[in-house]
Amino acid sequence: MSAGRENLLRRHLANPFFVLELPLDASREQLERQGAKLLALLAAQVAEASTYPTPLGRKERTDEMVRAALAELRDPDRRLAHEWWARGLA
Amino acid sequence: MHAGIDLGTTNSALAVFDGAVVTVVPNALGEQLTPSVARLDARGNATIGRRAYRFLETDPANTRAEFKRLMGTGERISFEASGKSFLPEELSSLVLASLLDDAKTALGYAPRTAVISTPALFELPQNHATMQAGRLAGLEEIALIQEPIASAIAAGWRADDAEGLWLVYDLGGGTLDVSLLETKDGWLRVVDHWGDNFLGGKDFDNAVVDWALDRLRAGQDLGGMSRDNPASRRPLAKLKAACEQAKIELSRTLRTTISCAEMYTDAAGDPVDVDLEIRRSELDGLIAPLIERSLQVCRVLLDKTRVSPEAVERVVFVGGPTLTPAVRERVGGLFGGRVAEGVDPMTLVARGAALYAATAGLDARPVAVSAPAPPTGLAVRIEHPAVTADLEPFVVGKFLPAAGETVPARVTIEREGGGFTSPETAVSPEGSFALQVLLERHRQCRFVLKAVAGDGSPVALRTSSFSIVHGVSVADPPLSRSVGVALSDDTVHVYFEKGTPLPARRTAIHQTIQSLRPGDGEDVLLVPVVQGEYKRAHLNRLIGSLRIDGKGLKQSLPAATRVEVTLHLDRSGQLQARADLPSAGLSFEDVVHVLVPTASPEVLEREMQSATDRLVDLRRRSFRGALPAVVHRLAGADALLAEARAGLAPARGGDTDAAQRLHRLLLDLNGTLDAAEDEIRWPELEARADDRLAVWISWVSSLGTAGEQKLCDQAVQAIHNARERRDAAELERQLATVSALFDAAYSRHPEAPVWIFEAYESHLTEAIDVPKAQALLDQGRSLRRQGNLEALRTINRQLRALFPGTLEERRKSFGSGVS
Amino acid sequence: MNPFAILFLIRLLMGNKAGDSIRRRHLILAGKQAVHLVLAIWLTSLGVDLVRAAGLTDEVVLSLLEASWIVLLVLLHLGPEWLAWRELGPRGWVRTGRGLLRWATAGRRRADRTGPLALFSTLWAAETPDLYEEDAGPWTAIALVLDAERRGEPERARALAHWIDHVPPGNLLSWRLRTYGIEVFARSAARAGDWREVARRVRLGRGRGVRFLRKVAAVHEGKRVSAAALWWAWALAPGRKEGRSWRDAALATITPGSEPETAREATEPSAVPWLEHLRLLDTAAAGRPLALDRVARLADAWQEELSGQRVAQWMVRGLELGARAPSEVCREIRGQVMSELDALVEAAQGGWPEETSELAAELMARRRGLLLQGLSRWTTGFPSRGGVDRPIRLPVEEWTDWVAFHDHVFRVASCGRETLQTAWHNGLRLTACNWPVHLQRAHGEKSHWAACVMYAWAGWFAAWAGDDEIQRLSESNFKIARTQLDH
Repeated sequence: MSAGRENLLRRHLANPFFVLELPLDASREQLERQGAKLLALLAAQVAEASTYPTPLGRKERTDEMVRAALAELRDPDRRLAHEWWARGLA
Repeated sequence: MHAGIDLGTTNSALAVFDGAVVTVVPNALGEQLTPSVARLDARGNATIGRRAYRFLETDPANTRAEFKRLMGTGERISFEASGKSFLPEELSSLVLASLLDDAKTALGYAPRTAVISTPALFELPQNHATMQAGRLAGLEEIALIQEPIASAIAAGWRADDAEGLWLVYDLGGGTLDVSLLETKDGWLRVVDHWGDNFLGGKDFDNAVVDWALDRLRAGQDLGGMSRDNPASRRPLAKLKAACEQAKIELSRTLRTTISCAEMYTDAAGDPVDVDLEIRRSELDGLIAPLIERSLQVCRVLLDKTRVSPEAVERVVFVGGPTLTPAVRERVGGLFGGRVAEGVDPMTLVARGAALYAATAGLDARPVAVSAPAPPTGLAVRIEHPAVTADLEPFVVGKFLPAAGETVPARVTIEREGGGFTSPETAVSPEGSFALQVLLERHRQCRFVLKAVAGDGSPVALRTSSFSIVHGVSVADPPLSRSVGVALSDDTVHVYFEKGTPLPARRTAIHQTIQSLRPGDGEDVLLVPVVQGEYKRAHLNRLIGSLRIDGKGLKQSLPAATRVEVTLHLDRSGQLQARADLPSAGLSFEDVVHVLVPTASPEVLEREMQSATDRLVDLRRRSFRGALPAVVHRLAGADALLAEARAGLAPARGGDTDAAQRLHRLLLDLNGTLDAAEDEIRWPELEARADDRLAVWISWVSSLGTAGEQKLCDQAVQAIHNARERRDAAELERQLATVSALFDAAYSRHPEAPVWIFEAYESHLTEAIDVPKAQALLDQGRSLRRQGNLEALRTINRQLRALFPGTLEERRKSFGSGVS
Repeated sequence: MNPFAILFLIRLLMGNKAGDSIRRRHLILAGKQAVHLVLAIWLTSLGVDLVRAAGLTDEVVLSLLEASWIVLLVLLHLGPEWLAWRELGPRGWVRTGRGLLRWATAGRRRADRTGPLALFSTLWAAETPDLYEEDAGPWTAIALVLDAERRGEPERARALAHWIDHVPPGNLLSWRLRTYGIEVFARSAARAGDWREVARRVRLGRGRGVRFLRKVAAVHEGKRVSAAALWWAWALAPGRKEGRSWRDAALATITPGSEPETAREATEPSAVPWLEHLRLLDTAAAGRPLALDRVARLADAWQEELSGQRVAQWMVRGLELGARAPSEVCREIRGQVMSELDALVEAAQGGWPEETSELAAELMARRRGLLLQGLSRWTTGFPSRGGVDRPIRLPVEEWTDWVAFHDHVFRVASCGRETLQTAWHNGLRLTACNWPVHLQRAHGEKSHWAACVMYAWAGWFAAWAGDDEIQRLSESNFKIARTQLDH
């Protein structure tokens, strides 16, 4: 069902490294700082923060996505998986 | 000023945080803890707290405690004298109102916002009820926080050596929450948590009560007094209070007496006093199995997170029952005695909730005080974290010029008291800016924003100052159990994994599996939303269903129509769901809230019986297959079943709490049985192949057509390959193929009709319609005597329709209409 | 000659819906011919009178005019339908068009009577009709596809059009359907620029319109077509205005000296598997055609990345990060790649290349397993003891479900004869054989056409699976249903 494929695609495009626009070797500090900055920018409704770049064009970014991305990258196991996927697409 | 409330099963407390210090607000009696007890007199006047608590033993029909355990069930609690009944959340709101009143006395105003704590394993309906209670108590804005996180924040707030992994063991009156947390670089996050929604101090009390009853029964005739007899409520309430008192005393002494004056009346009608001596060692023996259960919860958590007990830096105890020495000893012993000292287990949660309120930016002060409106200056919106562990956080802002006003060119931020000024930064054409500031460790710092125009002249700003506190930053509250949509094939499409930070929103695409006719809502497609970790949808808890009906449709909606489902969970875990059908241009937001289901004891009994039957069947199969791993797993199922059986009596006696727990146990039991069944499958298939294949092949080769024989050879080869690859599905399919070929060959044998007929004869009782089958059998018998095999074949065909084939359990996955 | 009598007779014949026996139909047809005859003669005599009144007295011309009633008769017989499909519909004169169609289809067999009206309305009415109320006939089958396209669901439309590749012989599609129905069917794909789909749809069509589209589709497929033939086909075809742009695009391709262009894929396959993986997911999610061998090449590319050495390197990174279970993460990643490749394979069309990597071979095996498992969605409805274990829904619902089933079985068959035979004996034979029986039992004349197609197909597959019993049964059922169709 194309429904499933679309869901898969969305998940890939919402890779935390894309959403947070971070390099793969970002430190914990950089992660938290960038996340807080993006949340603040989104709360202030700054236009440039509302989209982020992906290999298939710019996509919409919301504060829930930023929070989810932060949580994912804080967990080292989950971060490992996301790094692997983002690796070939960075 | 930020307020946090610990709404506990047994006791509640309220604390406030002013940015520097956390204080627990005492109630009118000067105590920090207010018992979560409500009493209603004959006129309907309510009494809350310690005063009501005194009536628990003397007037149990009008005094209620521990209603937290029933939150979200929709179960009404009745009060005899006044004849009124209340929902648990309504009673909780009375407790909250009393706490807010006490705060008003202390602060001069009643907090308008607060953070309320909930157990980590509370599910969405229960969280929803908690929010409701807050609203009824008069709070304008409420946020929920999970108790272990609150405890961790409070315990780790000032400690500099707080790095590493630590365990919060929160044993309350009704629930056990065990959480593993990690503090790294000042950031606190929940790694994972586990618990038991039905294990708490109450169970300790019940154990003592049971022991006391046994001791009493040995000496005298108690009549029909027992925990599942509703008539024994009053004397048992008295006994329970006495046992509780004794239990608390045994924390300080080695022996005490359970004394209960005029506990019950004997056969002659005289009141009987009860005095039972109990030693600490006896108490320890009684609660040992319960402590062991709690240790098991800890071990499961450590297993899941692959953390050994040695890796845990310290254990934090939360909740009254953890004052019991046996608990501290045994649980602390698991972690080498590394117990965090100097923390008050009774008020930790309330303190943490107040600290969290600061992080969430919830100001408890009345609106007029906290937001004076200066008339002049350029409007600017400043976004910054209220609390952070980052010493150099970003501050972001955006100017909101009115007509005629221009945006400043550059900005800078200064820290009050000196010590830091940010470099001048240009403002973007959009009017936004982002600057880093420097905080002082573990302090609250105030900052001032200054703006200058292009020519260097200062620009007046409407609001220019703000403050940031440096302390432990908390990751967003994580979701306790995965949430997703149940699909028609009994699987779950997970939207939010367990641990997803809240708030969270996700949209996914599905397809309808059936067409939907326009009309008055007869045809309905359900999109069930479930919470839980099981892969099979029906084993998870149903928390709501979106109904897609044909009311707004102008014409039928075909099957395989695209449905976009969006789930949105707010910070407190409140769920909103929406389904969009783009091709029809319709949207559905009708979420049918499912309360925690209250299964009736009869239904539970039936479920338990079928689970028992299944267990027996699986055990037989596992022994036949000589599968020790499965036998071991079934032993676990045995334990669950035993627990379930023990809970059946109180459930029948009207204990809704026990009924809830039994329901949950049965779900877990079915999950275990499913897992066991999966494990048995492969060996059984192999055994079947070994047993029957040779016979089948010989029949096909003697009576099968050329085509069938060739097919049989192919299938046998495929069976061999499937066995090598351990592909159970393929093996099953190929065995079915050979079996079908065998059936065809078998029926060609000249005497086959008679054999088949005789088989039906011997299984007459299994027919769907026995009288009809009987009639056919009579006809068949005379045909057999006559030797008319052709006609007998026809009779066999008719009989076949009356005997069910393999029973395929098709679980309907809550009636899900999407894939 | 009373015009009101004629009109009354027309009304009487059109209003006759109930009771479908072949005698009644012939009666209606005879009635229609009678009306046409009367009209033709009346118009001819009117014309002759007018000409005479205008002063023309040439005997040759007058006798020719008098004989023209034959031509008029033919025009009246064929005209209404032609007018409705070619002129009134495209111009939006829906009510008049429907009226003419209702007249034209009166007296025909059921499968060709209400269907054309449904298709007409689907194409041109402001509000599409509820197709679920219709019979499961060939016109409705086409209307369902066009309705899905109209709703903006191209993938569902493509799935519903699958049956057109496998229509059995036996005059199941009337010549009118093959002229008008197939033409609008193909035009819809032409407007979307999907010439591969057009080629597929015009296969069974006839007529000038269809011929033109066939030629254009052939050009886009790379076949040799002369410019002159293309011009000629366009000139003869209806809807020349719309066809002009198609003709020009096709002519541009066949200018002398230029090689016929094979359909080129939008992007070149990427060397890095991640990017290619994402691109293929995007293609599949958008419902664009995806070649199976491209998925196979992706699988080959993944083989390298998922090799033991690379995995070990990644586990080292995991330890650097402080992951608790890096080996499990790596295992999960592999599982995720495989299941996403499964999804891509399911969406793709075409042939699997001969030489493939181990990973691709594993993918094929998984596909086979998933396809076989997927069959149970339909086979559980038809248990081994006979009978049917689920309610039989409306004819059109059963038809759309069957088309999906049909598509699925073809995929199973594409895995090889052995796979099909395995499926055959695991419930497929009973489903294929009994489904149309129960459908006819439940819906009678509304489902005869659909049942014919289903029987024919069941017999064909039975032959392929080597099952003589089901083949014979299905063939005889087909014959019976075919006769019922004509009544």
